[in-house]
Amino acid sequence: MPIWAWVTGAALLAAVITIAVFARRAHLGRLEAVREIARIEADQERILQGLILAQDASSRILMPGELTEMATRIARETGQVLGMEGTCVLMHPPGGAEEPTGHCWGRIPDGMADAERPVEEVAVQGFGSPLSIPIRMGETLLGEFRLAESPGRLLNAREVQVARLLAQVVAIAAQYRSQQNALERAEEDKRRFILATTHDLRAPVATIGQLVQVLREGYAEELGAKQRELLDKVHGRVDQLLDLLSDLLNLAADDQSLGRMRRTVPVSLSAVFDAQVEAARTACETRAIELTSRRPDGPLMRMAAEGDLEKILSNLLSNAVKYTRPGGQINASLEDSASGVLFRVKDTGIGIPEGALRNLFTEYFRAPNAKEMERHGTGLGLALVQKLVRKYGGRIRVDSVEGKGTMFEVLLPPE
Amino acid sequence: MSKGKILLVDDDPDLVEAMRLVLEGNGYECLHASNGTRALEAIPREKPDLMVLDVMMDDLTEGFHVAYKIRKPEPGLEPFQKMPIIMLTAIGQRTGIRLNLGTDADYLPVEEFLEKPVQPKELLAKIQALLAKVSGGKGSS
Repeated sequence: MPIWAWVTGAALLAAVITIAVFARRAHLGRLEAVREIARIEADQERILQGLILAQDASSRILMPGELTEMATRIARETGQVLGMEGTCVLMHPPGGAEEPTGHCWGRIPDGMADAERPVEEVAVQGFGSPLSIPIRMGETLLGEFRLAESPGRLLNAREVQVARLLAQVVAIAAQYRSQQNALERAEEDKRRFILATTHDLRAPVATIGQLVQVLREGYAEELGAKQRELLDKVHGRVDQLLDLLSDLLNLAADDQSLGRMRRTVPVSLSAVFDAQVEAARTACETRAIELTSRRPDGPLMRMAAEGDLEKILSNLLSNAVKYTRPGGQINASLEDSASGVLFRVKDTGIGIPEGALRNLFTEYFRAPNAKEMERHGTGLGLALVQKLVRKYGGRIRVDSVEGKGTMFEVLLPPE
Repeated sequence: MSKGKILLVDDDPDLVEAMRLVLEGNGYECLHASNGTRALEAIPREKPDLMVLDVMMDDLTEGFHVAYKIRKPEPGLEPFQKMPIIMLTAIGQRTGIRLNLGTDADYLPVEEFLEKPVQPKELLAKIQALLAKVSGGKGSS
């Protein structure tokens, strides 16, 4: 073989080897790149899941529920999303009186659920380094978010950032709950105060009323005509004073700033209706007014603050009784329809003059013929009813012809 | 012959006097206890047929506690578990404020719930009806 052929062959071989080496390098580099991209993607996916978790948790802050539920959920889901061995959300109780409470998930090192024990002292055999993120609101330390890593899965800076964000969400939720609890306590204090005040104001007046009734009916001694006449007046005034005290205290109890925040509970409209119709019955019997009522079967449940529905019904019913002359009629009804529950009180009373209809729901306003018939009254009843009906998204309607009668209609829309 | 023994539980002596005039004037025998503790002590000793019970005495809900103890019943009160109770309070329907926290009127452990001042006729009618029901149940008069 001539020498040139050897040379050419060797050169070709060298070229092929060089190409093969470069190709292999390029292939390895690509593989590395693909692995790197997969790692970054997984990393991003964890961060994204962490952010979704934070967003979901923050949207729940204002919803009713226990802080415990949220803390437990954040401990679990953070652990899962970030691939931790175990996690603990440790909350210091406000005031520091009780033991801190811990909400843990997964496998945790000994002592990790113990907030008293600094995280550096927690035994870590079989775990990566334990991590502690303070849960704080401003300067106040509310608790600690502890994460136990797997030996082969250490958190990177961005993942720690996500965990911090979740700790912040827990801090805001804890702060909100403690303010909410303080408000509820204030509301309860106010309720008890109003109850005690109502009682202290009404009790002596009620006793006067009781003594007067006993005197009027001759239980002490037989009375002369003039004595009886005067005692009747005392009796009327006492009744008026009791009504006035009720109205004023109702108005105070329904003070809007706190009234709006009162806790609502399921209330049976049917039960309220029955109780109020029954309460009006005695007054109707005394005044020889015929009272009829009608309602559908079933409890007709509604969410309402305690006493609100009672006040709506009792005010409208007692007005009907007050402004209907003896021998008249009152009909109360409850109806359930697609547009809501309709409560209606219809009477054959003195009616409302056309000119007075416009101001009917204004505080302290009383129609002239109402004043004439019942000299004393606060003019607060219908204002309160309207306020309450609006609070529940309902509407109130009145239909009246002076001298013929009045119909009030309250519609409470479905929830 | 007394028509029945009635225990009046109220911390207001003037109100008790008014009640006494009505009840004794209508042939009932009356006893008085000025708070819940005294009432619970008096019941086994005096064996009343019916109780008229105030709500707010030493504390806001004292009357309820007394009623619950009778209905439960607490040891020593077993024979009085079904004794009719009329609750009489200065705070009732007209104030729109309910006394027992978060519960309905059905939950009240009493037969009647009346507001002060009560019409003597109404009180007498309720007492008569409740006593008739109890003695009817026993099969005697």
